[in-house]
Amino acid sequence: MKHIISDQDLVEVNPMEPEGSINRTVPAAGGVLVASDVTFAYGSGPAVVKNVSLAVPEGAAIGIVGESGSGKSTLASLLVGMLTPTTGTITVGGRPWSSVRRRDPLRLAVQMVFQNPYTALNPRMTALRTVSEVYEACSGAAKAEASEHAREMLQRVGLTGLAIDKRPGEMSGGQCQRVGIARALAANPSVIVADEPTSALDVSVQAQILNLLSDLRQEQGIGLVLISHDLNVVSYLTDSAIVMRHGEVVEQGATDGLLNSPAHPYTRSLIDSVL
Amino acid sequence: MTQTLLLQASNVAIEIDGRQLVSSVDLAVNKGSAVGIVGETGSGKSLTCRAIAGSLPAIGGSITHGTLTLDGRDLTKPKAYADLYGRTVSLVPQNSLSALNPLMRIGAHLIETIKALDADDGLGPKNRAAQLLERVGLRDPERILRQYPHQLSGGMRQRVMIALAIAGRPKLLIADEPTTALDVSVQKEIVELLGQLTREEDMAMILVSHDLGVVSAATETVAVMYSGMVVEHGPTETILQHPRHPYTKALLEARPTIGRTGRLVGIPGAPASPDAWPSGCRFAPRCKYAQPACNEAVPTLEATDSGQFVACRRVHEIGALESAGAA
Repeated sequence: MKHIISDQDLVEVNPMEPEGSINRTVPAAGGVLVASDVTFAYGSGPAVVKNVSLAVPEGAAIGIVGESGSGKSTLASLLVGMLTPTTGTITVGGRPWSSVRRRDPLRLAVQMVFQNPYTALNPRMTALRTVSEVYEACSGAAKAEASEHAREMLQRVGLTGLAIDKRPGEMSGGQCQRVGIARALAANPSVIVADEPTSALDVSVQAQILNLLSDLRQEQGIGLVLISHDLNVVSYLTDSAIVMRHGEVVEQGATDGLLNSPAHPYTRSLIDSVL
Repeated sequence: MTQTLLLQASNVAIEIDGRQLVSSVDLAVNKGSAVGIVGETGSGKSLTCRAIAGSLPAIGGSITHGTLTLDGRDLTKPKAYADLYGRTVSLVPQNSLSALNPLMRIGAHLIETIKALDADDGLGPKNRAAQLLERVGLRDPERILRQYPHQLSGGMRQRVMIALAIAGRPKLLIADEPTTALDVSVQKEIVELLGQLTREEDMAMILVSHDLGVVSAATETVAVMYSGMVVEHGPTETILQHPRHPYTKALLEARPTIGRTGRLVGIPGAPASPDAWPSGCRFAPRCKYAQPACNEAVPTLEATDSGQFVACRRVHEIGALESAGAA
């Protein structure tokens, strides 16, 4: 079935207008990002996300597991405010996305890292420019200051020297994904939603990116929503997880318990399929 | 049981437009056996498959060094591939959506292939096409024959690709990352199907993957490639349980698995481009065991006491170092 996104489904996200220097704007208590009974349908089509609830406390890592068509990427778009729930609410810092105006700094609190690091970046921009542009737009800083800050962000994700002046076509997949993460960090987010961030990467590079996401969480208290079909990756990086099938949550709980003693037959079948 | 050699590659080098991208591949495949090739992007595993399947000329490539024989035929000679594809060797590609013609029904794909290979087994092309779809586990073949590729799921399309590949009853099936784009449950089904077909059709298989889990589930021996070379090969179980080459060890340490505790150990840096391959061991710049002497000459595969062949000049020392460390 073909799903069509109507204009009502789309809202503007991260308009990048100057708002002064960036401060972490979301309070720690009560869950930074909370989805309550969220249902979503594209246009007049059937619901692809049904009655999903989850909460991301500060610094927590939550995995969303499911197969193609389970609705996990749509849920990611809802969590970052790119789509508006048909019913239910998603709050960030206690406020529903619908009430967060485009100039509100709260818009920056949830950032996304995409699956394909090559197509997620502007092919004409260097790594440094990609990151500094975001910082400049978010903070209103001058170019020189934004550039200096972008260098720090890129260094934080392990890119230094000549690498920061390269464009996506000149970088490896792992380097591009690091730029994608640095770009998300440039907005000083409270939560990063990472949609299959390592599925396009080789095993050795995947380990580097997973360790980086783990470090960011532990050292900076950034919450993580990790969307993945790879249970090994979810096991490594998250404390709790939800399993989605046909848009519904079929099981949720602590990741260890869920993977070691799955209660739902679907979760069990997913675990049995891991080669 | 006596095993008959079907494919033998010895020190094979491959160039594309005058640029060497594979420099040394050693590989042996017995009739009816399943061999895995593991490696990361750019290691040369897909080019090796193309060389065996005879599709190098299509991308401006050629075998420039070494010997490659398949079913007694010398594949380094011009026109060696005539009448080979489909009957002796065939390929299941990675991306089934782009491999199928979006304007052709599934039935047309299969009937075209069956006619080209004269492989209808006396059933007539359409009946044979339906039989092939059933053979790869697709229910209601008559309906699927009438459908277009976009109407099938990724797993179903991959089954169609396998049906096309086995239409001519090849002796060797090459599956190049056949599960990469698929969900975990479908991945397992496809790997199991490939294993079942190799057993029941008395067909050998080369299974290419960057995923050690996929290879371990379906192969008896495995070759690990890095920067255009096979750096370790031997029994799959031995290599996964007791890897000897530092790269194979590092690959296993970098892989998250359910229940694993402790930090993953990534491999620092990235593989060198073929234009800048180091003069000695290509893994040396990223290897924690490397010494200056490792940069002097490219190591060749040598037999080890544990049953695998390893291209590392320090392989015996590393074993002793680790034993001492463990003690």
